[in-house]
Amino acid sequence: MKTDHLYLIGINHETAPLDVREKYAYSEMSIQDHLHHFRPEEGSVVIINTCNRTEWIFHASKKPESVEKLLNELAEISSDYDTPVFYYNEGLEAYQHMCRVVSGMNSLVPGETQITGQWKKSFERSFEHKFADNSLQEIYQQVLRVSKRLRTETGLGSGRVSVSSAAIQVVADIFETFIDKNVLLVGAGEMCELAAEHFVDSGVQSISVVNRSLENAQKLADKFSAKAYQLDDLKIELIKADIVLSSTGSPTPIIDKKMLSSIMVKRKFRPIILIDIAVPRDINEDVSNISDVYLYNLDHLEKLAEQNMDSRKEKLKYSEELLQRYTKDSASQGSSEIGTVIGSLQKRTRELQDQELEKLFRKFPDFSEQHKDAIRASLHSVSNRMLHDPILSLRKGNKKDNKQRDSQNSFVDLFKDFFNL
Amino acid sequence: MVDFIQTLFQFTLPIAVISLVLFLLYSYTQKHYFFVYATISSIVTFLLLTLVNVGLLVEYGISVVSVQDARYFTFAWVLMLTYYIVGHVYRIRILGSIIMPFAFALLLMGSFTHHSIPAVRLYNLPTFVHVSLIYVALALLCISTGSAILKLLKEKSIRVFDIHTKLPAVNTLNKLMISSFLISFPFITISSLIGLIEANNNLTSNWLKEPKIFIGLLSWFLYSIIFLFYKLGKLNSRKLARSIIIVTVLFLGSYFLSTVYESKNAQLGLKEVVQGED
Repeated sequence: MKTDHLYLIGINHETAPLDVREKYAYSEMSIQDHLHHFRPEEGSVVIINTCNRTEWIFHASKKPESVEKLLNELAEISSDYDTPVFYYNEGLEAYQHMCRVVSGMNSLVPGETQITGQWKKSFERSFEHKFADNSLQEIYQQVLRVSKRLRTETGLGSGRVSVSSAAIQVVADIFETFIDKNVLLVGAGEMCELAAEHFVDSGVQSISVVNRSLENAQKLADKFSAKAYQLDDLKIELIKADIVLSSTGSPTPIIDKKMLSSIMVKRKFRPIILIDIAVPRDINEDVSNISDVYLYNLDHLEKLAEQNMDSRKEKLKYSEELLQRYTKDSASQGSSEIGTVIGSLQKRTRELQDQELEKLFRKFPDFSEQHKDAIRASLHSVSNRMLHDPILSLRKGNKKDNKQRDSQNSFVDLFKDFFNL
Repeated sequence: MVDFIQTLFQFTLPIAVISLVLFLLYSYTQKHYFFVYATISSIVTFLLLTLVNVGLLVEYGISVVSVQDARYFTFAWVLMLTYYIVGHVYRIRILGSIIMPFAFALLLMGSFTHHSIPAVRLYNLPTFVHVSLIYVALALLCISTGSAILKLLKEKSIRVFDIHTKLPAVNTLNKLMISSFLISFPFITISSLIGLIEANNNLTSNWLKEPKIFIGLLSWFLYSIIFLFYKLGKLNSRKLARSIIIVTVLFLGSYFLSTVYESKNAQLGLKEVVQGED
């Protein structure tokens, strides 16, 4: 894999203040114009644009003029600050930086996963609109592979770092699965709604809402196909619930040790998780002394989120060691044909898709843009699924040792013949 | 045959030790590859141990339950088999870090124990069934105790918000702890009944004073009370976990008494049988 011709310029939350980042925060609509503007005569350009970073990635046989222009522009801006507002990498360093970004090592919240999707989308946009050619395909694929490996082996993304998602983590400590668990929301405010969304995303199917006002409880319950009850039914619902999330405006606790002790006997000591995110608290602290009761309040969840964040930061050092090893390995592997073959196959599929769609849309001119987009997406999804297994076989082959590499090469040749690439 | 069995066991022991070390490393580091190698070596140990036990069974028939070292080998084998089944069903890897070292400790004890020739005439089919059921029940109790220990550790880590603990969910550990505790009860009850009848028929009149029988009966009595209280919903899981640990320790005490010391009553009983025949 050739990383020699990579050039990467970027600004992010560590180097540039917000006003500089705002200047280069391209809108979705304008990004294609910018790609046009920066595209080298021969080669590729990709612009990564997220809330915390803008990066310009070039791949060309010689350093493009756009790189020089952009560097001069950013250097001029940097003169107003004590340190440069940008970073610039070439070759292997650029490749390593891409891996850091995609694996979340370079993110404000280390290990966050959103960046991977944004990064892929930016590359796919450039491939789709021909701002990037196949020469970049192999690097693109390799960066994704290395990043995935880094995430898996270091556990960088593990542990929830926001208070609301930490609530999900504490539940996972007690119950192996959420699907068959009953969630009871005490209160019908925004916090309960947000928590309910998290629980539904995690697979919870049974939700009940208890509130002073049955009307408000019903409103929230309707959003999640849940059942609504009045606060008088709290004791009965506590017997059935496995996970209780409380966020009411009550000035005094509504659940205490005496109440819960009798409920636990009726529950035959089935474990129950109480998550109290109300201020002032809804659940008296002394309930945590009861066996099989697991109480978490806001302080606990914040502490947990902080610990997760610290843990992720600790993993960064190990991630960097692995990154150095993996990226050097892949850079020294030489020019493998696999990336090019995959790129050619995807390109050919796209061309076929475009041709067929053009024919179809000519035949049915009444299709709205919405329908056209839906058909495009469907066709794209089908072809991606069809290509998934052959591409996976090729990649698996790439991991084989030298002895097997000869047969692998013949497999690649056969693959090329098969698809007429 | 005995020489062949002993040679086979000599091959088993080093692999068992390797497996033991790997399991301990896994429990300390939580690295997946340690678990993989530990499991592979423990399966090799298990297969070799299966051959050892089959050899002993062929050599001594049902009297094998009275061969001192074979008692350790057989119990270790049953314990390992139970762990594999439970591990497969519940997917609790870390349990191996408690069960496997114990199984290997049994093997080590077996290797240091004298290979005695059994008092054939005393050990009939009911005794064989009694001992076999005891092994199954004890293996299940060990699994239950392992889960109870893990559960208490997990609860402790939850209360201090330790995010680095990779123990299974509390509910999973609870399920395993309770189910193995409940399943073990009929086995141990039937086994105890058979044991009592056999002791009454074959041993001298003061057999009840023998430590292993006395502790065994005491353990069963305690077990029954815990079982009853649990069924009535009077025990929370923390108390249940601690009770299970105590009961298992008592039962194991009874088991070790029966393997470490020769039973005086058995010797006396044997004498009576032999004299009667003379």
